Amino acid sequence: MTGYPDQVKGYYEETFWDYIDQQELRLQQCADCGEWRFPAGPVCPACLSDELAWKAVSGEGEIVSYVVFRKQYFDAYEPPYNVASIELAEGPLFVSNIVDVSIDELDIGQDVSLVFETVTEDLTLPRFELV
Amino acid sequence: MPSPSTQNLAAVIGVGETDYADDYDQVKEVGANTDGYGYAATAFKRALAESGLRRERIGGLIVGPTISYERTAELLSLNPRWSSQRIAGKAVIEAALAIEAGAVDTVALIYGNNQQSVDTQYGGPDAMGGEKYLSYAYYAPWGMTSQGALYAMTMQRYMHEMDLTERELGHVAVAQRKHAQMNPKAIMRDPLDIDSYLDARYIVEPLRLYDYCLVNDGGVALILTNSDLAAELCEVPIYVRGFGQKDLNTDATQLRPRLMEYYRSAQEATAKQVFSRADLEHEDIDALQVYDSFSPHIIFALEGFRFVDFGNGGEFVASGATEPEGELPVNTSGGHLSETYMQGWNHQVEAVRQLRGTAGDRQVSGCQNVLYACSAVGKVHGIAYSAEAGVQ
Repeated sequence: MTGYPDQVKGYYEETFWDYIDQQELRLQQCADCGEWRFPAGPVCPACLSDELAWKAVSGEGEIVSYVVFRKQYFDAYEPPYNVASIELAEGPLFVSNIVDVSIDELDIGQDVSLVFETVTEDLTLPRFELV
Repeated sequence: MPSPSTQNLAAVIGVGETDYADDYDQVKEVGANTDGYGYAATAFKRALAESGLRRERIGGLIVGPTISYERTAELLSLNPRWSSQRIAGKAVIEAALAIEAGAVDTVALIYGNNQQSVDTQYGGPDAMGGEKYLSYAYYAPWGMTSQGALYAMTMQRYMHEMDLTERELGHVAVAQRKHAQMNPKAIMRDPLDIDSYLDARYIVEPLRLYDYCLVNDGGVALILTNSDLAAELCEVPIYVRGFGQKDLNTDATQLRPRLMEYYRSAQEATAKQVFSRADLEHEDIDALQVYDSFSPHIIFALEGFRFVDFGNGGEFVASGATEPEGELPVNTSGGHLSETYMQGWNHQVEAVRQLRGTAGDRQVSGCQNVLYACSAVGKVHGIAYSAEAGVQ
């Protein structure tokens, strides 16, 4: 047991996490209307097309909000730890952690950039660092 | 806008609930002496007795989400013509719809929850079906979990945008405790001042202990009938005068409706629909019951339902306006934060008690109309309860 939550992979999550294992953060982009969507799914919520492509995001984003957990819910996550919502340059909001930062340094509006962290033998996570 | 028929307007003629404070102590000290169905049964018997109806007269049944519909109906030997399983506000709305449409003329609404006895988890791997929920895939790997954390993240952004301080937010919990202190059934009745609020530990910063709802056992039931039957059976029927709903599902997993607009557009649309259907205005509302798993709900509801302007919710609460004797008392029984966490069911009962004039020490004087406002997990709905059916 790693202490990390069991990975939940529906049909489309497999592809999402396979790319992450290769240190790529790819989201689906609708091949018809160009909208990026997240989470992964079979149709475009904007135009209902099922034509899609998995495209790599730039990795750039901005913190739209964050919290600091002071209570422990998972073995792998000992408080205090941060969780942030990052607005990716492509549009979607992405939940992740900000690394190498103290709680006092965190602020809404900060620019961040993607980093990959291999947290266990089987698990790589896309996280973000301040730029 | 379609208008309801006064003849078929649904009215509450019976309410019942368990003894929250006594059971809380019982479970804490000795352990439970029943289960979720037991609490539900107690509440149902009390509501039925109040209603004056015989059990056989019940035509419709709606059960809350925390117990099985079939098992509840089996235990209570109810074989209704029409049934459903819904959260509190939606249960009332559906019962009202069925009654107004003439599908049934009596509906029992029943809820029971033994979350304290069985230590129900609201965060972590066992929370809310855990791995069965999509959000688990997109939150849990990064340690994100629990509705509390989602509301903390939403409030963090609100505080940043609107310059709300933690001290101002604390007034939500402080105000509600004042109402609870006058409610003998409320679990938390010790005085709570702002310094004690600020001294308490963070759970998920910026939310603290007193920003979170209780977790306790209990049951609630309501009996609704149509207006004609209500007039026959009940001295003071309380009318479901209006209701409304609006969901925000687009980009919900991304948390966009929460973080980018605090559910405002859905709340505004819901408020318009409720007031229009009920033929009421904001000034007519004497008390507001807000689904309050966490204190931010109150500020978002005050603003979203347009009782105050966007950005003024914190100031309104900090001024004392939502306290007893205030301009707009909110959660007059103490709500989820201080009375009991019956997932919105206790708010319906409190609305009815206030409108009947039987709320004792915590009675809002001249209470004629009460609004229930709920924004939970992207679905917003509202109900206007009234001592009057309204003019057609």
